[in-house]
Amino acid sequence: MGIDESKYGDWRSEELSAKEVIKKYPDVPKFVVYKTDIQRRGVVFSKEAMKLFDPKVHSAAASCLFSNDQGYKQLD
Amino acid sequence: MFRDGTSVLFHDTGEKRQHRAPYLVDNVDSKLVLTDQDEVIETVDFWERADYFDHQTSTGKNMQILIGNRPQRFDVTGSWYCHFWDTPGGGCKYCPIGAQGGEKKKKGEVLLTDPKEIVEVLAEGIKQRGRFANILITTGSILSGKQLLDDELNYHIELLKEIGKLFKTDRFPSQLIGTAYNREQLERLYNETGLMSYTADIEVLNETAFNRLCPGKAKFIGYQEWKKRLKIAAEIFGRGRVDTGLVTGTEIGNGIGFRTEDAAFAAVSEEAEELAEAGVSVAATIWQPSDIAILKNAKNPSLEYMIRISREFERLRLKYNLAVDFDDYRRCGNHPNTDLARLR
Repeated sequence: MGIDESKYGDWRSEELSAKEVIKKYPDVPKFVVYKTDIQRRGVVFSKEAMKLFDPKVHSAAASCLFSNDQGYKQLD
Repeated sequence: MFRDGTSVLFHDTGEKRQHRAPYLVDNVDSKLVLTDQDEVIETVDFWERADYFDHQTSTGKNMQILIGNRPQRFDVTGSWYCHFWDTPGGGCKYCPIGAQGGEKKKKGEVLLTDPKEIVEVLAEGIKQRGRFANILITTGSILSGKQLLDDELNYHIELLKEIGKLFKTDRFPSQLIGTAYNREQLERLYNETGLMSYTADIEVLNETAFNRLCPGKAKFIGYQEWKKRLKIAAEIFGRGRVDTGLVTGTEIGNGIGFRTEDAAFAAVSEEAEELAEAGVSVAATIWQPSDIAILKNAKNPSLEYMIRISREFERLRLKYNLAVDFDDYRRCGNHPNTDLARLR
């Protein structure tokens, strides 16, 4: 299951992608670039991904004043 | 988390985002992977539960409820309500605390957590060796008191004194995110507690945008006074022991700030340099409009702008020889720009 890209218009043609940014700024680790882009664009989890979540082992949400405290949002 | 230990915190995301498609975390061959446009980018992982989650306090409360955490630190939240929101629209316009805090206020959940109860959880939490490198303490802003903010300050001092009893050293690994205190208050905070580092979030490095975005902070303290207090804090706590948080991107567009990313970059860099010269670092949080904030329909800037800002802030820390190890990847994990400090 993927993201329905048709909902978002042509935004990808208006700005550099993460890959292009990584190429343009080689002094910045790719993990920092993807972290930034995830925080900027957001992220969702597929149902299959959530099958790998073990509540006995994993933590679902940061409980902090500055977070929404809603945990991982699953794709319906 | 990424495989190099980089942690990624994010807010309430979903496909409902209006401006850009989100990433998708998926399961490929029983591995958790980050994907974009059906292409696997990287393997990722959930972060692990803390051992203290399975314990209860002496009064029977679940410790997990009392203190949250990230992979690298405890998040001690004294109260969940910010009193800038006492005036309708007085809170920061991108901030979800207002809506969340309002709900909690209705439920009567805004009382400050008992410091002794917090310490009981921390005492259990620090038994997990190798996990936690820092204790982050914050509350929403509390404006009341003999002087403005005295009630907030007094609570933090009481709490820090209690936490200090867990440690043998005068100072212990800790960061307080408080409102911007005046010199007298900052001296009390430093002299009466074992606090190691102090943060007061100015939110945006431009006075006009600050006044528009943060009307409560502007009314009660003001932009120039906020900066002045940060510099005083660096005198008291030491260079590299004070920083200020930004919600990077709020300074552009949306009828609030600069019209172009280049203009914003130039202005923000200049103000960040003024702070760095005085010993104050900047920790940039990446703005993603929250569905429950006033600016819920706003558009945030390009990835390239965010990366340029991160590089610039790291350049300034190097130029002015500023450490940021109290707010870096190992002790906070929420700021891409302070993640760059691990490259030194």
